[in-house]
Amino acid sequence: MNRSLPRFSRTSLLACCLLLLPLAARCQDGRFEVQYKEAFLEDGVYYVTAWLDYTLSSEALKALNSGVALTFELQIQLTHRRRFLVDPVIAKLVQIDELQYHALSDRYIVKNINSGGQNTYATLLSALTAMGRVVNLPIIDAALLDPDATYNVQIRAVLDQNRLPGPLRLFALWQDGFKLESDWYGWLLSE
Amino acid sequence: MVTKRIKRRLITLLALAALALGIFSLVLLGQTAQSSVEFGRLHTVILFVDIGVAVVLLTLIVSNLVRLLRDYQQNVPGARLRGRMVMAFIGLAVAPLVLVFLFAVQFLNRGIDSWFDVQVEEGLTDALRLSQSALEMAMREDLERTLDIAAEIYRDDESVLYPVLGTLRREAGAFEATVFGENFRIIATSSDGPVPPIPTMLNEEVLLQLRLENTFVGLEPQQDGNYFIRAAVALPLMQAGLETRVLQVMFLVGDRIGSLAESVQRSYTRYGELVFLRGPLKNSFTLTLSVVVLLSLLTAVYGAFFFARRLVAPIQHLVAGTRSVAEGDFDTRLPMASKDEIGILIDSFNEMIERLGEARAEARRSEQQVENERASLEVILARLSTGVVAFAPDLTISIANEAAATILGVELNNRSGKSVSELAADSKPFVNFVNACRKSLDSGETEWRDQIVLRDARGKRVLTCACSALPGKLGQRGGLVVVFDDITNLLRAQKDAAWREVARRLAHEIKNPLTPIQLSAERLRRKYLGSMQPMSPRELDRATSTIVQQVEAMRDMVNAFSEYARAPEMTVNRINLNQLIIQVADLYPRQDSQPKLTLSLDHELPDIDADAAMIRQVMHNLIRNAMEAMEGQADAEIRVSTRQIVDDKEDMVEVSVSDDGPGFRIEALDDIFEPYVTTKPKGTGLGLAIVKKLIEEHGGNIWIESTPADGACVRFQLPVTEADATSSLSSVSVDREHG
Repeated sequence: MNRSLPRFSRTSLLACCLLLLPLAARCQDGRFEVQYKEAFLEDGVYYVTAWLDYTLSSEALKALNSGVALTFELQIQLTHRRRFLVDPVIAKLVQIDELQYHALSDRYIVKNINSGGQNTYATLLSALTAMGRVVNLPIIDAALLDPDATYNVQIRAVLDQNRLPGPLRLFALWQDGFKLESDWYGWLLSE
Repeated sequence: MVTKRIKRRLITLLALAALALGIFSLVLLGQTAQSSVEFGRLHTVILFVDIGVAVVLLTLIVSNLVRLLRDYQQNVPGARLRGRMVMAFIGLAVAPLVLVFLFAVQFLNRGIDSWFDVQVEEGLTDALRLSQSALEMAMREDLERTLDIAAEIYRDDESVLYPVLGTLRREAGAFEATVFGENFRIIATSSDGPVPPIPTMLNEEVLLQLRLENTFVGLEPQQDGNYFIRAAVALPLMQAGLETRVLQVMFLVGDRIGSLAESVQRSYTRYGELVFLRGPLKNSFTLTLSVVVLLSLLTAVYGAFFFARRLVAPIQHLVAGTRSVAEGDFDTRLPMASKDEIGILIDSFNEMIERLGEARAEARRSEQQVENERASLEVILARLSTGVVAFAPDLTISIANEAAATILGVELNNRSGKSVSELAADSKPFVNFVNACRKSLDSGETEWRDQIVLRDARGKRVLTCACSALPGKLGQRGGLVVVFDDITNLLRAQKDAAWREVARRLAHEIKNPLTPIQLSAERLRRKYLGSMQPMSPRELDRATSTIVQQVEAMRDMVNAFSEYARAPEMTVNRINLNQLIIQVADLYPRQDSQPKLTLSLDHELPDIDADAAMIRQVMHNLIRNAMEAMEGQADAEIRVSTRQIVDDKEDMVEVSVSDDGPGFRIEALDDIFEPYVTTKPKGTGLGLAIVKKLIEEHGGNIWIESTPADGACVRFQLPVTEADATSSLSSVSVDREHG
């Protein structure tokens, strides 16, 4: 009896580890994260600078290398901070980048949907890094804001599942590999 | 009922809408399956539409199934048949559908797999590599040209850099050539593009490569499908201390090679994407097809319920209609279902019910008519003074009117169906009546007339009876009807009239000779009484005295006859009967030798209209008769009582004079009120006859109740008019013991 209990405990622990292993692996597989964010006022306009870390999951990476274009959304929103009420959204900005692998040139193309411009990169890392560098992005004119009010800036990055190919879109609903999004990162807007 | 119909139509509409949506999604699926792009765009919508339709159909099916099971448990007519039909329909629909589904899935998977081929994939890969090789060759050539341009620039003077650069660029066939200084500063540029030129900037990747190998060449796809070859060379330093310079030349890939390379690129990318999406595509197709098949299956199952219900509904209506008719509801009409055989059956059923209803209405009318006639007959019978009794063949009473009950002294109302023997216990006259009838009935005689004499406490009564046979049913023996009349009073009146005539004649014939006889006897006495021998006068005296006495007696008798025979002249006044009785009783003071006279008078007795002298004579006669009956009897008592009788027909006052004497024999009661009938050794025998005559003159009736053990009781009743009744409060009421 005294021997069976530790053996049972060891077996249970091993079973729990085996069960949690895929979950842990999946948690490590693919991550969007905001590493740095800053908002500043210059010439009457508020700008945002942010560094984002885009790490693709194996499913997303496989889809990208198979020719499927992935669309990244950088969502920035400005909310009016109130004490007892829900904070309303004052302004909302969405920056959309499409990443695609170009087999002929063996390069990764990053196309900015908002501006229409595109750049090519020799490696995926350089492409993701370039997408993750948001520098001096204007978000709102200071004249539109109440100087006495307090505002919050929130930012997050999302892999847009709606722009995936149709058959993939349905299964992406319950596949974690395509559920890539960062948390909302917020901070107080100051001059 | 209306709500139920609306609900049913809504459900049908819902089912039809779901079916239409399902068919639409099927058509859409068929169209989009031709193109994976279209399929990818719409298949999610189709899928969710189909799932919605399936949920609706499943709900309807579950609802129908629950209803069917409930009907099955409650043994609702048609539920078992409906269940069998549903099972048959489902069996017929499901088996081929499942087979088709399995074949379709196989076909679909193989169809999608056939899109992909190893050789195609290898061919595309080879084409891509070939394109890459061709472009690499062009890139090497362009790098050589760039190196040549760099060598020329290096030799020339910096002051003529710009024009030289333009010349060299054009000679090399480049699109753009730019010399950068440090920090991406543009020193000189030349381009075939817009003026002023916007040079393509250097990037970190180029600089990194240049630091490693001094040259860079790369292929850069453009949005418009063209390709640029970017070649860059680090220029050697002109002299020590000068900044590092970089020459970047952009070559546009030729149209031919560029378009071919782009085509290969697109095909390769598309094919790679398809290969990657093969699994999800097959799963999507299979899932959608499964939903569509499920939809078809559910539609078939719901259709099975729907059509089974539609087919069984007329049968259920027929069963319900039959039950309604069995319960007597002939107003039931079944709805016309269709024009087929079921419709003909329902039409025939409705026609049959209509005819049955008409027949029943006719029967009710006949029954009502018979009932009316019966009611009329009952009214007629009730108003008849003649008694009518109808007997069933088993001698139970079927009809009897009130007159029969009155004559026979038995309650016959609501006694229909009672046997004669059951009723015989209630009335002695009825027993006599039945016994008298039975003689004829037992002999099988059905048509007869006879006189029947009944006896009860009120005396003898004579009935004339006539019997007839009633018609029977279908040759069976019918009942009998006996009609009878109480002719006792008629006979008595006839007899009284005859007696009065006799009395009148007798008085006339006897009275006339009595006077000369008496006068002659008196003269003989006066003439010969003094002259006769001593013994003769006594004899003469005795003889003549006897003659005179007898003549007096005869005169009294003749006077009595005369009084009986003559029509009395009544002097009617309002009298109080109690006071009159008290006055008469006062004439009979209590003596030891006489019976005690006790009065028991009703305080509420109303006044009546009567001849006081006649009533007084009646009371005298009755009291005297009672005293004579109890002469010599110790502790004899005569009781005189009055009371009011309130009846539905007529209110009466009743006077009774009873004694403790020997009473009358039953057989003597028959003729006790007739002249010359007496139970006493003395008397004319006219006392009670006169009493009866006087009472009848007042519209009353009189009778004797007597048993030898309990003495006799003479009762007479006199009518009370409306005015009499109202004056009752002013009457004098006495209740005392006389003497």
